[in-house]
Amino acid sequence: MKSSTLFRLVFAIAFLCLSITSIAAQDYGAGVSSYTSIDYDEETNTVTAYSETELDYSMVGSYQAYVGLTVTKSSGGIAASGSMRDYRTSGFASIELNFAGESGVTYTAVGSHRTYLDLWDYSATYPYDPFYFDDWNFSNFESLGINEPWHYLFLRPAQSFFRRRNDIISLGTTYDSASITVTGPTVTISVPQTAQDGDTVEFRVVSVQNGTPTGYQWSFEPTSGGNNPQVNFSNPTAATTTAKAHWFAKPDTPCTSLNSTYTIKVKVTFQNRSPITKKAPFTVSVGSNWGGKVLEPLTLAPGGTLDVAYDSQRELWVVTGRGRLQRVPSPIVMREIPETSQFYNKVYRHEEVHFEQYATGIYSNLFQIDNVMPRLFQLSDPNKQVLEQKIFEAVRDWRVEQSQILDQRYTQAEAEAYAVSDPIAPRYIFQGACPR
Amino acid sequence: MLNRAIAVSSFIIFISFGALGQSMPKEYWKELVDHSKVIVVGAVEENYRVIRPEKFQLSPDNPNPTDKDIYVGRVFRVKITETLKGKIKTKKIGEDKYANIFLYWTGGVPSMGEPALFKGKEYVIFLEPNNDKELEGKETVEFIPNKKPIRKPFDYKSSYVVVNGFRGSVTIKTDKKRLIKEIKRAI
Repeated sequence: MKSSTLFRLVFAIAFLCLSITSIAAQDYGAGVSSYTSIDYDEETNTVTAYSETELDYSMVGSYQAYVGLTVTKSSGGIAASGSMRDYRTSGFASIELNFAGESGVTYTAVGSHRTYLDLWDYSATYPYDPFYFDDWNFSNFESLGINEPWHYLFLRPAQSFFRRRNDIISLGTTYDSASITVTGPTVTISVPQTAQDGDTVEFRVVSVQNGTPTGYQWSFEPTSGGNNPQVNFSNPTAATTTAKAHWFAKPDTPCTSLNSTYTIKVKVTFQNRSPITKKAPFTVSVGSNWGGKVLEPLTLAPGGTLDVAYDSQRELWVVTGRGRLQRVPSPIVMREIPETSQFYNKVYRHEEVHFEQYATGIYSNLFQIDNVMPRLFQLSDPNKQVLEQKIFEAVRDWRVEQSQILDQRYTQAEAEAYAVSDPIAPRYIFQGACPR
Repeated sequence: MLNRAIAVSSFIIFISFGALGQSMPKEYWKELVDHSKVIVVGAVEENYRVIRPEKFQLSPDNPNPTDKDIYVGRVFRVKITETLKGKIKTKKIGEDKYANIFLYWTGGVPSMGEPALFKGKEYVIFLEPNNDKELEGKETVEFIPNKKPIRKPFDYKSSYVVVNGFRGSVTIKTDKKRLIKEIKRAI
C-alpha cells in the first residue's frame, strides 16, 4: 500500500471517530450549560480567558463537572491552557486564565465541557433509600447501563443485580469558543520629510491609541559619519520636541551629496506592556542655489548727475566735470542660505573676500569713475535730454566692458576667496576643490 | 610683495584642487544626473546679456536704471560636441551644433552657488529646458566696441538652464575621458 493511501485511510478513520464523538457530545451534553469568554484589559495589558461547565438540572451529590480551557494564538501556538474538575459533585466547574497580551494577536479560547454521573444511595443502612434521579434531560442512560428512567433503587449489595454504586458515567462533551484580538497601542508621529540645514523643525507624537504612554524617548541614526551627524532634540523625553536640522556628509568627501537622511525614532513606553518604537526618515538638505553675491560697484550720482553746461560758442550741451558721479560699493547679499545654516559663516566670509577685492584687491581698478570720464567728456548734443541719454548709454556700455575684464580675472579672484573660506568648517560642498 | 605671494600660492592651490576635483564619488554625479534632463559636453563661444527692454534706455518712467534693473542674465552660445543624456535642441551652423544656455548671472563674480560659464572653456553641463515665463519679451544684447549694441528678441523657450547651481557646469580641466566615463557610469 502506498504511503499516501495509508495516510488517507488513517485520516478518514480519524475524521469518522471525531464525527462520532461530536454526535455523542450533542446527545449527552444537551443538559449542560457551557460558557466561555475572553477579554482584554488595556490598562494592565492582560488577557483573561474564562470557561465554566454547569449542569442545568443538578442532582446534588450525583454529578461531576469538568471544564478544559485552551487559548491559542492566531499564529497557532498555545498561549495558555488549564482544566478544572468538580469532584465535590456540585455540578459546576470553572477556570480562569490570565496572561499578557501581544499587540495584533487574535486569541481564541476553546472551552471543553464534560459532565459525569456518579450514582450512589444516600442512606448507609438497609433497606437503603430509593434513589430517584430525574432524567428530564438525560433520557438515554439505558445505553449506559441505567434501565429505569424515572427512579433508581439501589438494593443491598448482596443482591447482585444492582451494584450499590455504579461506575462514573460520562454524559458527553460539548465545546464552545470565544475570540478576541488584542489591539495594542498605536502610535502616530509627525516628522517633517525634509528640512534645510539650519531650519528648526518639530517632531511630534501626534496620537497614542489604545494605551496610556508613560514616557517618550527620541533618538536618531546615524550617529557617526561625515560632519558629525546630530539631531539635538530640545526635549528628547517629551511627546513634542524641536531640533535644528543639521546636514551631514554622506559619502564623507568634501564634494558630496546635498542631501543627508536621518532615521528619527521615538520609543513610547507603557505600564505593563512592551514599548513601541516608531521611525520616520528625515532628510536635511543644503540648497544647490545657496550662496552670496557681491555685484559690481555702482556708478551713481546721488542727488544729481554729471556737471553739464551749455557751450554757447558751439551751441551744444557738454560735460564739464564728474559732478557727483561716484563709484559706490555694492553690499554683500546672501542668497537663499538661512542665517542659521552651519554654512552661513563660511559663505559670508567668502563673499567678504570678493567685497574686499572690489575695494582694495584684484577688482579695485575696475568701475573707477576716472576711467569713464574721458569718453564722457567727448559727449555733446544741442538737446540736454539727448546728452543725458548719451551719458547713460556711455556709462552703461562702459560698465559692460569693465564687467568683461572682471570675468577674465574670475579664476584668480575665486582662488583668493576659496583660500580664505575653504579652511572654515564645515569643509564640505562649498569647497574650491569641488567641480565647477 | 607678500600680497602677491599669497595670491599666487592661493591661485596654485585653487588650480590644483580643481584638477583633483574632477574625480567624484558616483553618488555625486548621480544626484546631478537625476536632476537633469539633458547632459552635454560643449565649449562656450559667445555670451550675450539678456535685458529688460524697457529699462535699457532712459525715459521719464525709467530715470536712473541700475544694472540690476537692466539685466536679467546672460545667454551663452555653446558648441555641443557630445550629448551624454537626453536630447537637446540645437542650431546647426556648418558642421557644428550650438545650444543656448541661460544663466541668471547679471554681473559681478558669480555667487558661490551659481553656475558660471566662460568663453573658450569646455564644460560638461547638466541642463533642463528653460521654462521661466518671466523671460517672455526679453531681449539679448550684443555689445560691440564703438558701435551701437545689437538687440534681438530672446527666445527663452529654445534655451536651457543649468541644474543644481554651480555643480551643474563642470569645467573640463584634465582628464576629459575619465570625467565623462565617471558621469556616464552614473547615468
